[in-house]
Amino acid sequence: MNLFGLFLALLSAFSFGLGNVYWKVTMSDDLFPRVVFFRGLLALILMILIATILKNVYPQNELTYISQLTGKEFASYILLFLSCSLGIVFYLKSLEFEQVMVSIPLSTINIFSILTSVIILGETFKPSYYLLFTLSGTGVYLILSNQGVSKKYGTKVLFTHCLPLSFGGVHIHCSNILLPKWGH
Amino acid sequence: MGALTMAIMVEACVCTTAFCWYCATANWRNLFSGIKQKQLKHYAVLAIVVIVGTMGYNMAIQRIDMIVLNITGKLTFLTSISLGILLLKEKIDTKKAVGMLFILASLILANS
Repeated sequence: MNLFGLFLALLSAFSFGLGNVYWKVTMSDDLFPRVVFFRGLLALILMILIATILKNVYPQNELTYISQLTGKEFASYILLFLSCSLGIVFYLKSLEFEQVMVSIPLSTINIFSILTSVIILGETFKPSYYLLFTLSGTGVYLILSNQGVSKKYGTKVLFTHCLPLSFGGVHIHCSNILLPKWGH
Repeated sequence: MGALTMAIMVEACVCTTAFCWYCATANWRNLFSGIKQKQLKHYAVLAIVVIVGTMGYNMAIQRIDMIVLNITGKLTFLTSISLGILLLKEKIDTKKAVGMLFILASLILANS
């Protein structure tokens, strides 16, 4: 067992966990979702700019994977940006309605990712997924059933949680197209 | 370092710097004019946390087995909930706790 590797994995888990909670601190107003979206948009524009310059001015570069992007990969990159940015934007919106301890479990269930993998990527639907869906559904029911809130509020909570999940599914699909060429 | 890690780091560093500079030097445009110095600090902290998390994960991939690495997702889940209770003083009850355990079990099943 590589102890340094284990330390890095733990550090990564702690950092992402802290990040998930820290979003709530920044949610005193409605600005951060916009910031996140425009940050992604800026990155996308930079990427397009770099790809265009490398392709036309300096085709024999070390970052050839950028200048050799195909149309499908390029479209996947744009979808990746949209799904990634909008996934976070709607996760942040969901924090307006609920605690982190409710938002996190609801945002991590795998239903949309599995459905995307099966429908879009054509992966096999394993029988164990039925049990997985049952566990996830029961978990969601138990977490939301005790809220004592109106139907309208409950719908809002579910809606804001379903959106990041569905964008997360598209995100995984696009990453799978790009990763083999780009590397992790 | 793979291209995707590099892309995430470049995005986080360049865009955060550009965005902070942009907000700090211009009253632009009402869209972001409400952002104050304190909020920029929060944003910088978040960018650092994301960079450390991404770098840690990508460096860990090269050093440990995927089976061990898969635990990271569950640890993130548990860390988020624990920090929510500790830092944000969120309240937890039995039904919520059991619901979380069901979802955690579904996450473990997905990686098995």
